[in-house]
Amino acid sequence: MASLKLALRNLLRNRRRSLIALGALVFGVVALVLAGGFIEWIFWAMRESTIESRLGHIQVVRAGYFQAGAADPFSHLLADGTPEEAAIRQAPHVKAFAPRLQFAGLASFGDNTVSFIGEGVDPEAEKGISKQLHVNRGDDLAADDPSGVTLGTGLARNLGAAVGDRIVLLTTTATGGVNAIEVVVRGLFFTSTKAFDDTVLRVPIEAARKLLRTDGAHAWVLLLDDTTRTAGVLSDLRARFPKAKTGLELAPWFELADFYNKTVRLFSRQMLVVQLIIAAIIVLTISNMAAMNVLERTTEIGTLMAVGFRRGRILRLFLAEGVILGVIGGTIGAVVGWALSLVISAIGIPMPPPPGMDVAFDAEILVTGSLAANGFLLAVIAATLATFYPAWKASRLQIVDALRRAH
Amino acid sequence: MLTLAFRNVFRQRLRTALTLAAISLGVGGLILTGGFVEDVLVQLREATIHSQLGHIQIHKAGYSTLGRRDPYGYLMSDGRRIADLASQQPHVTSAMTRIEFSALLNNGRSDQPVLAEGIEADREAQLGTLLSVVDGRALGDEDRFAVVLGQGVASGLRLKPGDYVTLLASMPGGGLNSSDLEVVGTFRSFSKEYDDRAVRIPLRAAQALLATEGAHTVVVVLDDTAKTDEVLANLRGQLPGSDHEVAPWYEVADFYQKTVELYRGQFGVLQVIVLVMVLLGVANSVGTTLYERTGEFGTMLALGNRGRDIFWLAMTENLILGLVGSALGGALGVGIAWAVSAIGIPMPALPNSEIGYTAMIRVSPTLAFVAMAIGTLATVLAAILPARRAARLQIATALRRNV
Repeated sequence: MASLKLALRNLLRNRRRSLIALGALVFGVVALVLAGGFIEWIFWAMRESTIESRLGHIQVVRAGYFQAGAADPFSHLLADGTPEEAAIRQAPHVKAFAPRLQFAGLASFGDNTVSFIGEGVDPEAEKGISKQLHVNRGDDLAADDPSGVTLGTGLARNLGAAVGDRIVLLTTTATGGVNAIEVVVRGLFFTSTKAFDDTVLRVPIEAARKLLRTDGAHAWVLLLDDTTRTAGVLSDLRARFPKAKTGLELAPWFELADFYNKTVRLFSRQMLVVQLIIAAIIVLTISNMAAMNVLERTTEIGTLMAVGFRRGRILRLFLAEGVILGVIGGTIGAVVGWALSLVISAIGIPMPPPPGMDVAFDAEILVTGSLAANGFLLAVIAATLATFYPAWKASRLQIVDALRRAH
Repeated sequence: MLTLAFRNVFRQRLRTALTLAAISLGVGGLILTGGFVEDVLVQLREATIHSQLGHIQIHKAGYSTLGRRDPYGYLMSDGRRIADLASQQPHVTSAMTRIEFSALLNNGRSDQPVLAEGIEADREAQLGTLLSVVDGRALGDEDRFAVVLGQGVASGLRLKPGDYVTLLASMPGGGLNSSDLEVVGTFRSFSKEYDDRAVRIPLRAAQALLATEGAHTVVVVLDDTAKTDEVLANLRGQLPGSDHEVAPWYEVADFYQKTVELYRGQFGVLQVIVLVMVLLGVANSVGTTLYERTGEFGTMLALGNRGRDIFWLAMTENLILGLVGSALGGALGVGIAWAVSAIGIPMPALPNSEIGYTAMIRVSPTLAFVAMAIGTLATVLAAILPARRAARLQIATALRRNV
């Protein structure tokens, strides 16, 4: 306790040295918090935009649809108006319930005929789920316009169709016959996936049902009020609708988002490498500062020993100084880093448009509690360890040698 | 003055060592981060080129803007001749022709729209180092009525090698034609979207199906990506722009361009943080050292040295420190980069692909030079303020610091 008090006095006495060491600590923690927070934000943004890119939080399908649905779509339909549908629609935290019907066929406009993949969707329910589907010409689907469809920009280009044109969709029905309807191009959309824009058109689900001469849907896509609730809602629904009994399969977004999972895996490794380099620089800078701090005080150490301080006590004294510096520097650093992150987020870091998009965006910095705690711990540990070696070395000096260091 | 500066640097061994450590650490850190980011981008570039694009693509003029609408209006009847012409250029390792068309693939139960490519199989095998066969085998030049399917197509239609499929396409003159093909293999590439839609058949089978002799694209592969512009200029000189359009990979790969920009933006933020840390670390170290020598400067002033002399002495010392520290840091950075590259950092698959890769740290001379310049400059600039302070010291106050 006595050494703690003495350490505090020493720090206050050597005000300039303490401030410089503190500066190194604070900057280190701020840098770590900001770098970590920036990476955290990138992952957060990636996650949310993945969910909003038509995936939703949870998808409900008939068992086996994900594996075999493309080859045999009509035996994987979810029926309309079942008690399950009503129950899932009203489950807690479910913000939107969007049925979807998938089909493939040929679209004709003038002399051009192009194959397409169609999605029958509920225009209202899709609004929150398909935010990453940008309508850049004309309007999005509307519930009151059953014959208005939207085309991927690539598909529209292949077809040579523009907003307002009438096109004919031809497809195989549920019973194996062929059916065709005439629809109006209401709008064009683009997403981050070029292959999607090149093949997909969206129609109101009622029109799709009429075209396919069927009822029901292939998937019910659920949007929750909060992404962190996904696992809870999922296990709750799985318990209420066991796959064996109801034949329903529930899949959360993170099992469906192949691209997202791979990006996150790769990106976190890449970021980890950069973060390790940053952490190494920070630890070494702090160590450098702390070592210099002790070394410059060799004479002082000599004097202390000359008046009868024991080696162990000197070591403890300097360690206590290191810990105090680390705690203060870590705290200030975490607070300043957090405050800076708020300021930077409010201004935004301009980023170029992501692949497949035309719109640039502003990145932000998302500081989590664990991130700030890591920064704080790093400062305390680095400052303590870095003080230890030079203090130990200094405490081993011969008194005369240490005293002679004076300039 | 220079001698004195050198002597000072060597006399204060510990302080010099710590400052040098700060500088070389910073320079090394800059080199490692920069080299790693560079490697990430190079890997992405090579993956893009070698998975489908090739280095240079040649089309009939107008194909890139109007070809999608009217693909058959942009067939090059002399595709093979152009490919042979391109093969004779220096740095070209191979040139192949392709024909692309959309079609319906039928497995007997249902249809799936696919993007079919007619290819010269053996030449493609040389390009497609990242197109790996997951089941069955790759196409060969001896195949006539065979097809390989993207993984997504195969699983969607539940097909495996040995199955028979029907490919249905509309012909250039109008009318439909179909061809029965045997599935010989499935593949996966750099892009999952591609694997979900693509099938590849021999060029001759495609030409027979479409009743044409032409090709859409000549793909040219080089031995070195850096030579792209040189070969591009040569080819453009030989193929008049009114007949053919010659495009390098970086104009064709929209996804690549945007990814690179985004990556640069994201890593740029982190690199700025590293840079700031390095600058502050160096400034801190330099400032402390000069501050701690107040007593010594007082003595010098008392002996009749001018403030100016002290200022320039401090600056010279720090220039020496900066140069030595940067050189050490350069050696350190390059050394670690070399060691890390030799071992390799195992990386998960690129987004959109299934195959992991090994990252390295690529240090270009420019990068090393810039990092070392930053190190030296930071040291010298950081010395200006404390050196000025030392030059303006009151002799009596300064001397008192000698205890």
